[in-house]
Amino acid sequence: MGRTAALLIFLGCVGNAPAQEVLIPMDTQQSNHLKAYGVAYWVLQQGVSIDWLLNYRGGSFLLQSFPALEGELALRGVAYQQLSGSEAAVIIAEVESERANTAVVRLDKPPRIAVYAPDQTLPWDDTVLLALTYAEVPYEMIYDDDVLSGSLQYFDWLHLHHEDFTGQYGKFYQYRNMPWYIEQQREAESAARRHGFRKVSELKLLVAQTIRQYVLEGGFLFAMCSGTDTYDIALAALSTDIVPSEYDGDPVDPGALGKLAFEETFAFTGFRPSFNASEYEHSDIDTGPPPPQLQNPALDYFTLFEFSAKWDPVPTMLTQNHVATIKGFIGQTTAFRKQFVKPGVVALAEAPLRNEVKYLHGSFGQGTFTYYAGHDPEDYQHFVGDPPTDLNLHKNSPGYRLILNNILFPAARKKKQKT
Amino acid sequence: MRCLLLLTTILMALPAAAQRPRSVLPLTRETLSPADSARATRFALAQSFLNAAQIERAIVILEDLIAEKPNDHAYYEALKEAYESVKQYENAIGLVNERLDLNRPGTAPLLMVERARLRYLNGDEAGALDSWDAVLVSAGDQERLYRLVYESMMQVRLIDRAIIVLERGRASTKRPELFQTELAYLHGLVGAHDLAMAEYLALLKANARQINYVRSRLSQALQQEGAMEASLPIVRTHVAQQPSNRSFRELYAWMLTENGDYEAALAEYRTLSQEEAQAGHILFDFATQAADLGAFDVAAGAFDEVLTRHPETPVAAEAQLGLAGMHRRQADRLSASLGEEEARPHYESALAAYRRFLDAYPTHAESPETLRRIGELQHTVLHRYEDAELTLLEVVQRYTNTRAALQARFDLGRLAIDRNRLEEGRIIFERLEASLGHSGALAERARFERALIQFYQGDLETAGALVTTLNQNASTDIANDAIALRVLLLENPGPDSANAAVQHFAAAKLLYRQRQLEATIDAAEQLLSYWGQHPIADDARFLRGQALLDAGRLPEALLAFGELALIHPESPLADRSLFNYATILDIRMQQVSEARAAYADFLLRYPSSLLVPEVRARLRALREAGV
Repeated sequence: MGRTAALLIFLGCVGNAPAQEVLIPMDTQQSNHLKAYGVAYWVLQQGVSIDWLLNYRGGSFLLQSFPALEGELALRGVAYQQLSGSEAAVIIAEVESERANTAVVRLDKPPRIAVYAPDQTLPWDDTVLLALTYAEVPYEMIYDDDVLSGSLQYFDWLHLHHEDFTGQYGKFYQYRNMPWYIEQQREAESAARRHGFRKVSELKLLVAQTIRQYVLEGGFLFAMCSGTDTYDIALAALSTDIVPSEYDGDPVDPGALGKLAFEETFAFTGFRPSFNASEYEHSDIDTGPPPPQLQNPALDYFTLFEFSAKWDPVPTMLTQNHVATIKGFIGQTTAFRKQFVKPGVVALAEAPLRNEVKYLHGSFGQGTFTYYAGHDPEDYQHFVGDPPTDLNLHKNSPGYRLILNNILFPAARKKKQKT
Repeated sequence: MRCLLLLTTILMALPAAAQRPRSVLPLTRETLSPADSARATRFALAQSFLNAAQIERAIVILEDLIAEKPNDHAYYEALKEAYESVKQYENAIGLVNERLDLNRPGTAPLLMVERARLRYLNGDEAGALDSWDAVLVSAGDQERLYRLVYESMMQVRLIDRAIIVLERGRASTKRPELFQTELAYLHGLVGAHDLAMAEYLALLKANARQINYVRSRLSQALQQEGAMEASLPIVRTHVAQQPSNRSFRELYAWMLTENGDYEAALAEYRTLSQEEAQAGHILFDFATQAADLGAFDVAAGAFDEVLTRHPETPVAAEAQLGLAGMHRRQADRLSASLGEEEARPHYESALAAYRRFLDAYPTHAESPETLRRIGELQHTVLHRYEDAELTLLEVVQRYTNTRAALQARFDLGRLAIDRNRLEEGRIIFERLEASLGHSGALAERARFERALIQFYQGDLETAGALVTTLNQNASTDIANDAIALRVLLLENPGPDSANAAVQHFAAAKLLYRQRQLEATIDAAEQLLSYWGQHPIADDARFLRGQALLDAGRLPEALLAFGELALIHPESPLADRSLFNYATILDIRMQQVSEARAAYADFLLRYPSSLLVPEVRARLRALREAGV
């Protein structure tokens, strides 16, 4: 046993002496981009600040080393480089140089994250839940009751995914006899009654308006797939009924189109809701899947815009990636028609030569919203009942990186804009 | 003359024939009065407006039409729908009221429920309930009226109230068998799964042949959260109360299986099988299902029961083989997780079950393969080489020209190697290859075994040549092993022209294969003392570690693997060695904090190793366990 102990001590001593700084590269040298975000979050939880080097090697992270860091990086399989203090200073100087479109953003505090999703298991995956779980970023699940009881005040960042804020249960009318649909409808109707509403659409409108108030007061909202357009549609329909009788028992308001209040919405204006209960589409905001000849993961792609890192740090943070072109993916909401995007909303990514936006961002009051169209960046067309994507097979997914950029962005220390 | 008469008759008959159809012509636009015709045209126009979603224009026309002809049902329906589609519920209610005032026989209840629904949509919930109630008060024993109210309520998704209406209808008509499927469905919708189940059971009680219908409905409904938990006790109570009701028990057994409660399910299937016409089939099907789902103990019980109670039936042979296969699967699983010793009793059970099969069904089509499996078990798992040899020879001699005989020849070749009769093994494999025309998976495996024999015998050149031919077909299972052997031969030449170090290593490998663990350890140590700096040294150290581990000499095995990682940090075996080092500490020696340190060290040293996911999983498990 004496030899064993000696061997253990020897094994333990072979490692290198700790470096002063650690660089987590986020370019193609990174072995696991998604877990790298989780490490960044974990570091913030340990009370250590991080410098996010925008546009430097894919948006790398630079931080001071501390005893547990390397073990955590190794455990999570995140590639890193040990740097001396002077090497780190050279990098910072390079990033802050006026000649390069790069910038340093200091991340200070881990944001408190809420995911808006029901307890019920639904037969499709929620990519943000997948991304957060895989990256080991902690979050809390909240739903209608929590939102209406004021829980949003405890969170910095709220995520919506495959939700239907119009009260049409995702327009899955063809699945109305499936157990999950029945359960979903029962829960929604029961929640509506609990809050004094006869219709689910009325409950969802109040939830949407509460979220709107949250953003107005400084919350960060990130939505994907149908969580984007249905949210705006619900807000626009605050004084009318756009829900067909198949979902709520009474017909659509014949004057609904004239009563839409576009001033209430975040990102879209001038759109027309779909009143056909059987149409798997909520409005004409969504472009739908690409043309048949492009419906191929190898041909369908979108490109990220490049912003000035020093002048536009927010869109720059949201578009940090190791590639500029990302493969497309379909969802109930696949992409947004450009003509319905409000002026002032920033397009972050779009499919070239198509009149559509894939990823957008805007401010509302003291908060911001980001909409990312499509269902699952690593499953070109995710059908109901498909198994969830295994992110172990997509550790470097550029599409998923865009989601995770969003969770770090609220951690950024606000600094005065250059004038 | 006769022709003239006939012609006259025909001519006389013609005008009459021409007039007769006119009296039976249906009413067409030509037959309508001018006023009716104008109304028909206006109605068509109103319908076009409705189709074009120009509802207000349609309403104007329809209101005129109904004023002219208040009794017309088509006008009434169209106008009501038009009002509803633009949410003019007050007007729709007024229209229904006017219709009620006309007091046409038999239409009042229909109109009253319609008025109730419209009142509900108009936000007048109390008025709606009064209207529905008015119909129910006068419904008496008329099933139709309860159904009418229920359907009307369902249109506005008043599910709870619809349930009450149907239950009231059932009580008022004194017909408890009414509305069973409707109520079962409605209870399911509101999550009252126990009540839904009670309805399904009542349905089954009335007609046992509905079992498939009920199962098909339940297979979906039971997927809802809490549905199984709420439903099972109800069925259990019914089975206890009416033990002779076969459909109840069938449903209960099926639900228990769906719920993973195989033991309880077996008890029910056992009872059911006592009355079945096809003896043993119910239990056999259940046993197979349970075995597939990994419920081995229950499956074994079910197989045994088929064999005990129905030994003369055709299903008994299948049960005997099923039981043997199940023991084998269970043993393989245990062996992979806990080691060969733990699995041994199950291998013995498999062996016994195969033997019983052979004794009972010597001429069965599966007999040759079954006998071969016995030989294989005796050889590879139980290490009873002499028994194995006799068994496999019997397969070859008794079942010549069968697939099992060819496989048995291959097994005999491997057995010859393990018994250190290498030449005999080589001849067996050569002949087998020739019999197979030198092609196919079994021939490839035979050739690889031949290469191994040459390797063990020190004829490295022939071994290399043989594996080269195997490497060409990368799709075969054996290709990876062949590549590994070829790489070993290519990377470890010298130190002399006879490649003495590799020859020595080959001899040690043969000893290890023959389970001569102490001799393997000695041979490896000898090799290391002669050729400690040779490139084969890392392989020798690894082999020594494996032999020490298999011999249960854990501290020495630990050191052997730890040393390898330190002495040969660049070796392809270094990551595997450090992994073995950590797992010995972790699993065999239970020194978990040392194990954790070793796993963490592994991740820092070999971040690209294929073993990384396994190490991470183990490290996380230890961390979660608070180590």
